[in-house]
Amino acid sequence: MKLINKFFKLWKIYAIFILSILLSFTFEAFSFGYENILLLFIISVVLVIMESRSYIFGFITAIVLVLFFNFFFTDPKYTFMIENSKYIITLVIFLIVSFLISSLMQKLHKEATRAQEGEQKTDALYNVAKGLLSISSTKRINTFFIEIIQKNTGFSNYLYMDGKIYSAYNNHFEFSKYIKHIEFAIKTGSHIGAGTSYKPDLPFRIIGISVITGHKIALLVEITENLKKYENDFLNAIINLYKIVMQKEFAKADEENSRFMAENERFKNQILRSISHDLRTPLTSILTGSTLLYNEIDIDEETRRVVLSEIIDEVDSMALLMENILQMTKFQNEEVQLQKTKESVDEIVSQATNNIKKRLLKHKLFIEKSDEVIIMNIDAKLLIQVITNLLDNAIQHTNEDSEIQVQYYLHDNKVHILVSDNGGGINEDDLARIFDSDYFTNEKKDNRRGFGLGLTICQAIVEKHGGNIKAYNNKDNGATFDIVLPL
Amino acid sequence: MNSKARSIYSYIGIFMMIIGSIIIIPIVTVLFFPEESEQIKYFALPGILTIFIGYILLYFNKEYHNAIKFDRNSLWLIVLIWLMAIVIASFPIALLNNYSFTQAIFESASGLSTTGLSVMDVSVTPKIFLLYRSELQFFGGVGLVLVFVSILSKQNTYAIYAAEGHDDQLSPNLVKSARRIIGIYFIYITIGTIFLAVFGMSIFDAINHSIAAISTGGFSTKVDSIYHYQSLMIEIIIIVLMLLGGTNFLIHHYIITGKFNKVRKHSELKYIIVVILIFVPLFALIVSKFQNMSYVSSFRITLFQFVSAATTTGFSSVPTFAVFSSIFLLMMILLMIIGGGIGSTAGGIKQFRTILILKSIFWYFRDSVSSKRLVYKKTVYKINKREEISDKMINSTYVFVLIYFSFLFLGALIFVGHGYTLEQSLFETASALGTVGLSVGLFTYYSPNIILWMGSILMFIGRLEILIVMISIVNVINKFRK
Repeated sequence: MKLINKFFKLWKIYAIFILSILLSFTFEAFSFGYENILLLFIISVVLVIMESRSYIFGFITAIVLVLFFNFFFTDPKYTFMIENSKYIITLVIFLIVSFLISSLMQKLHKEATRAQEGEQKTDALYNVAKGLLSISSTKRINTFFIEIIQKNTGFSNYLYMDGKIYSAYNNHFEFSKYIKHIEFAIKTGSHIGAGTSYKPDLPFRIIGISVITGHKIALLVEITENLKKYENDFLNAIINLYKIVMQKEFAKADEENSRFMAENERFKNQILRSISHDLRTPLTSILTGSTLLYNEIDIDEETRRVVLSEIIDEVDSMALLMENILQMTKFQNEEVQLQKTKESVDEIVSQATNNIKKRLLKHKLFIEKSDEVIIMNIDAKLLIQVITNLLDNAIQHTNEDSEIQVQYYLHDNKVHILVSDNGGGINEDDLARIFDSDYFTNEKKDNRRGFGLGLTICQAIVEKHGGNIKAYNNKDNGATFDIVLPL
Repeated sequence: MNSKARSIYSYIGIFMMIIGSIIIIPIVTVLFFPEESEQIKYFALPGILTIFIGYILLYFNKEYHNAIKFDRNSLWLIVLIWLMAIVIASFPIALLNNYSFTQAIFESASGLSTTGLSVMDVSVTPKIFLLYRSELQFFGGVGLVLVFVSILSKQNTYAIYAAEGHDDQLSPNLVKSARRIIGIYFIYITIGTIFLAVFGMSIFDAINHSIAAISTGGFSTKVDSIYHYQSLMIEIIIIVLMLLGGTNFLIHHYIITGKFNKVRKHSELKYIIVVILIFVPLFALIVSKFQNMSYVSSFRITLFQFVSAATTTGFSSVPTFAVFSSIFLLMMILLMIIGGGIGSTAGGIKQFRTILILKSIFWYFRDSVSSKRLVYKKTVYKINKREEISDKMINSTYVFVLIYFSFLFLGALIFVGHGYTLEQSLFETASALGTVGLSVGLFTYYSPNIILWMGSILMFIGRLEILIVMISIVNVINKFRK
């Protein structure tokens, strides 16, 4: 079948043939002379070579046309004999000329092909460079690299980097059996395997790529036959490009790393500052109280209880602060995983209010429940912590007898939980920054101490649930914190 | 050599291979008429040589093929290719001893432009040449470009197609449309041939006439054209074929696919109907009075001649026009000037433009008398939609018509200068410019060269829609200025 197809693909050559023959008869009809017919046949031979790109075809054409000429145009006509001996010379010269032209054209064609291939590879390299330099992230670079090699050479290949294998179509590749060879190639930074002198029976050529000490990179190329020179050059050129790009990538990663470390440092300092600040006051209180208890022998029971209760409060407060700090670090390191369960909002609110009931003292707490039962998929512990924090804030930062209200409702497929108070409100300038982790006021304005880390935690938890938290001042007086969570 | 030039060479190469193939096709006639084998050489030589040269040109410039984008600036390439087509196609005829180069060019131009004026004596012309002429009319009519597009699916050909003067919205895939158009025409030709053969023509004649009719060319294998047969049925069949050929490509597409509703309102169809239903009966009356014939015979003659003129085919069912009244001839001239449907094989100003002009006169008066605040929509029904006519379109149409009439007068002038009457001169010039082919006898084998050259130029221009010629001349002049 293939042969027949090939046969038909040559139709252009047949066409040239037939047309030449037809034309030769026409030349004869017009009495153009036999020399001209021969010259025409030389053109035909050249045309056949142009079309077929093979000097064998040219040669066959030459011979056939010679025979044709002999048969049809030389006396005695219609025989393969030649009367006039000069035609023998003519025909021989014709054959030589045809052969020369065929060979010449073949040679020219080879060179042209080679030049073209070279050009193509240069183009490919240019595109590759352009591509490589514009993408980032190690994974993407590696994938791109492999795909490029596959596309331009046709060889399937894999990239080994620091214990991981990258492949073009995410095929699974068992590289463990080659690990020894891979490491060897990396150590020596050389080519081993197929097509080289070291272990040529391996199904791959393994190329060690040295970028930066510490990273182990190797390329495995499934070479099925020996590489041509330009393919070899191409591969090397690409690998060099890769090295440059990866160098840049690793440098960037290092830079990222340092920045991350610096950020961590800053954060640590933040915490320390916050801790020392927020602990100072309660500790002072505790010190004062306990010193008093220690020193004074004659204290009445009531005063003693009051002082002790204050101390307990402050300790509670510090415990809460520690809890928050711990949470913050967890959040910063992205260690927090939400453990979501179906909870009733009512339950959550109740629990939170229960937590702070002890500290309410003279404050009044109102809970406005929603008519419908709202069930949400949330991390109960964390959310309770949030509401507790907000309530605590309200208690701490408003006058002793302020009213605190908790309400919740469902609106627009979102759950709103509001904690409001009728205290002094929040300073306008501070409103925007109260959730920032490094924010705290060191003044005590209207019975307010710093907000500390509590609000930052709240925001982080709420946002991790996919919601957001807002703070604003009420129309009349006081502030409201609005937690919005998706169902 | 810059890549644009090489791209042009590659296109010329392809085109030469096509034209070479067209030239060698008639050789198959010899299979049926072996006695004409001597004639093969006249076609084989130019045909095969052209193919070889074209192949070589293409071979060395293949890589630059896509370097050129066809846009308004490359229209001159169309003109060049047409000119080359006419010259190369004239070779088989020029090789014959009895025809000069001028005469061969004339015949070739007449064929490719689907005119039908001839300097050949068809009673003694070998059949292979007769088939060749009909073939030229087919390819010239359907457009060299369609052949181009059919064989080679390449991009950028839409501009060429539109430049060629064809105007239709057949389908976004131009290659498919091209193949479909040729297919439709082949079907028409085949059916036409069968009918003609059934009703008295020899198969060879039937083929030739059918092709010539659909291409609205008008080359006949008989010296006295359709009159030779004196057959009502043949005349009717030819009328039908001529009407088909003179209709826009798109209409054919819709008719074949049964979408009659879309074509009902097409303005050009209305025009034809008006001509047939009003003018033909009217003038038939005049003819019957003038020539003392029965009304029926007059109607038959008038119908045939009017359709032949309006579709710019050029078949004749009468031996001579000398016996017709001037008013009849004037009507014929008018029909020839107006021409056929836009986007068909016909020539002339085209019916669509005529309708546009008439309507524009109406709009002009309507606008002048109506309130300034009232804005009317200017539309003409084009095939299946009301095409909104912009003022620019109206202006360009006027320009076109003016240029057309200028050439008409110029041509008539040259004839008059040679001693012919004004009536004859106008008629013959309108016939050449509109690529009709009806003749009062001014273009003959014995005509002086200057007249034949003028005729060739008129036919060439008429086919290629004058403006393109004007644009390319302007382009060339600009190039020289730079």
